[in-house]
Amino acid sequence: MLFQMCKERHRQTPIKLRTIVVIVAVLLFGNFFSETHVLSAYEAKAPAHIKKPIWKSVLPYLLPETHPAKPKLDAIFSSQRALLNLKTLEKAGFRNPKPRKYTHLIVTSHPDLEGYVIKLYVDAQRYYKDTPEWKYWILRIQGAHAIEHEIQRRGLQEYFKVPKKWIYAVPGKPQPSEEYLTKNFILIEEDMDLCTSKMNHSLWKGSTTDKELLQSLYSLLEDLGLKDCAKPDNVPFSIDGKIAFIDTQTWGEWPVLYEKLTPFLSKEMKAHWKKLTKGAR
Amino acid sequence: MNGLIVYLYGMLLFLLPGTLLGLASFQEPWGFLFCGDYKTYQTDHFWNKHGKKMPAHNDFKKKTIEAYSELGLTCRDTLFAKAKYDTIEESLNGNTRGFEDFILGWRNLIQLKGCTLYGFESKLILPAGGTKHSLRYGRWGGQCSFIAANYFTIYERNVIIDFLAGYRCYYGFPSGQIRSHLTLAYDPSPRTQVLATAHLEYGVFNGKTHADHNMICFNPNYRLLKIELQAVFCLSAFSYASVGYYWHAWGVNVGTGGGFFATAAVQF
Repeated sequence: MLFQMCKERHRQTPIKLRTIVVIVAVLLFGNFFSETHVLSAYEAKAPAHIKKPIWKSVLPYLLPETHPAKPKLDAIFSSQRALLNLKTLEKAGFRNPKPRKYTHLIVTSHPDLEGYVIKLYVDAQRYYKDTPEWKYWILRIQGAHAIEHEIQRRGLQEYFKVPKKWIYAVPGKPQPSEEYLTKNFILIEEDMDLCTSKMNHSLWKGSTTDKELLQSLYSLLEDLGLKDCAKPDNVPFSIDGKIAFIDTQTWGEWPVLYEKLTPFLSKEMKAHWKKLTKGAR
Repeated sequence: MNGLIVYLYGMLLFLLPGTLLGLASFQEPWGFLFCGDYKTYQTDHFWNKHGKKMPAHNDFKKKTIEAYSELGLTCRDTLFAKAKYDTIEESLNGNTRGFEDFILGWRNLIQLKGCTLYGFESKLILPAGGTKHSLRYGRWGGQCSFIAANYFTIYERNVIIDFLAGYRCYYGFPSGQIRSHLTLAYDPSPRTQVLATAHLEYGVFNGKTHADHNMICFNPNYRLLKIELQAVFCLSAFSYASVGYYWHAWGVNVGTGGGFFATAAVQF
């Protein structure tokens, strides 16, 4: 029934207009989806080691000073230059920090920050595609806001979820040597408590993945242009049975790569997925 | 026929260091040389802008396949072309593949007096694509060089000294470079040759700044002194092979380390 209602609503507004409205809303008011927006004096004033225009850009997405993770992060990053390289990250307690294959992004966690996932680049790394790390963090947060907004709007909370994300500004001291490319920001995300890769793949292949689920996934992907999210690794099942959107960097980009999901579906769902995505942009 | 083979063999001995290193080699009219080269490079340190050795915190490995060919136009003029394809693996930044900028050149023999020759060389650098970290500048450029080589014998063994000095400039960035090398070649036997070469790539730091924090290869402002040791083996009158090792002896804004290389060449 719920999906029927969604379909009805889906038909009421042309895709382009609805998409534009969502994107503009997220760009303008995206920061209101974060937990708190009362800027402290610290948040409002740019630290000496960060240029003012950059600070102004990241300000709406900063981890609030009142957030419980903030003092723990301050403690980790003030005592040493943990972001210098992989060894210093490990020394600071981060678990298994290894660059990912394509984006070279380091996804890690820390025993003092249970319930959170940390995404970062180290100072010894160059910028991925010549773009400073904070621009990617903003994109990821805006993507998460757009997905959250759409999930709420369609009433799909039962099936989907997306982590809350914040930017944390690393303290100015200690700084790395000038030869390295200082990274001033990292991304903090809620841990979605994901299933193992094997379990995730079997859930995508199994009876949990039905026509209604695929229909609502398709409409989210298509409307928001979540180009890279039609992959089980980017939309994995979590322990609570919901599908989590964990890669929110690429959004507002079409065509969506629907074919990436096809091999992971059951025979019946493969045929349905192909039929569903046939008319996609 | 035998006389021709002896002549060619003699020419080959004289040309060996040049042909292998792409230096003062002059082909006969319509003579053709083709060299294939495989080179490795590895480092995890670099010299900073003050020449201080620093850890890169990043394992850098590069494999290069190079194709080099020469074509003699007249007994004084030789055209040459060089293409390199690199495969780079970095522990922090992933893999990069692609062509380095291509080089087309013309070498002119100014004077051959006894066993000494003087020449002039000009190169055109053609971008193989856009700027790519650690791989290429992706800029148009040119280089003009003076060449001198001297051939003599010590204890009935051939010795060749080969020298090149020139200036390379690019359009926009990176910095211009004084380029020079000095080769000393010695023939321990008629079919083998050993060479020691010092290469200097001395950036004059006059280029526009460019946001490239790569400190290992192709920094826009770098200086490098590289030493090479090479052994060449004549396989026939028309072909030879060589193996060698090189290391970066000194530098500014460039990686330390070094690697091995192997070359095979045929000449018609």
